[in-house]
Amino acid sequence: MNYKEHKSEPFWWGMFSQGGVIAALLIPIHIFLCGLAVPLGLIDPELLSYERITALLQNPLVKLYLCVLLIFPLYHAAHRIRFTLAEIGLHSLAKVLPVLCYGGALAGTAVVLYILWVLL
Amino acid sequence: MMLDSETTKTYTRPISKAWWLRDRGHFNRRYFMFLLRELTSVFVALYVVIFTYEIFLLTKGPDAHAAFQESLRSGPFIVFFVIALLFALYHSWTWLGLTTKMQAAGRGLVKIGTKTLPPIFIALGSYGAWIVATCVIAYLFLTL
Repeated sequence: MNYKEHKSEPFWWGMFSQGGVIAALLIPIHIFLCGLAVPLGLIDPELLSYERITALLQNPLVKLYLCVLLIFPLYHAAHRIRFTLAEIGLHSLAKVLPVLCYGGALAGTAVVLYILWVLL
Repeated sequence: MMLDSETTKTYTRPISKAWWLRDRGHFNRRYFMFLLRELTSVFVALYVVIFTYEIFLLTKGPDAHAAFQESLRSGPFIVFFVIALLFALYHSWTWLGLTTKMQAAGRGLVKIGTKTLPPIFIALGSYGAWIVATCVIAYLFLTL
């Protein structure tokens, strides 16, 4: 695949890699606990109650953890989606895809930071 | 005979649009699994977006939070989370297996003195880290 290498390219590859590791280590257990175990009643629903989660979020370490969990995988996904969309036929968009994908990840970063550190 | 860049052209094999399903008339499992592996990132991203939305709802008060938690019990969400979990597991499996593959391919990422560490140790390290991280998160989530 031909694309002119932008000088920011190593940064995106680095974020892709970081996000890949964080997603690999942490996402499955989160999906299981919050997406399946609590809704299906396998564990106490009170674990995700408003009172408990807001209390946990008082701890800056929890906020920091959530920042890492929610931000890095966005860059991982942006990078993969960028190349895969080009490879399944959107070659013509090869110049726009990086802007859209990494732009999306950057916007997501801003949203996560705003929610966790300004709104909450 | 003179060959220069103006008279020669590199041959590029024509690739079908759906190469990940059919390549030269055949289903190629490697291509298909490659695409599935790339697709895992879409589910990871979707989950991150849902999780972010859940946290955002905390700013809207207990009722909004409780209402969304209730809707997470519905069939479509459960089906989505089952599929997302399978894709996330496939991502973990392939991603954490990468360093082991490179070690096994003789790149010799990790050496002790002049000897290359057997790949099994790399596998134990990366998959071990996954198990430890999973247990720590589950423990903290259940007990904090």
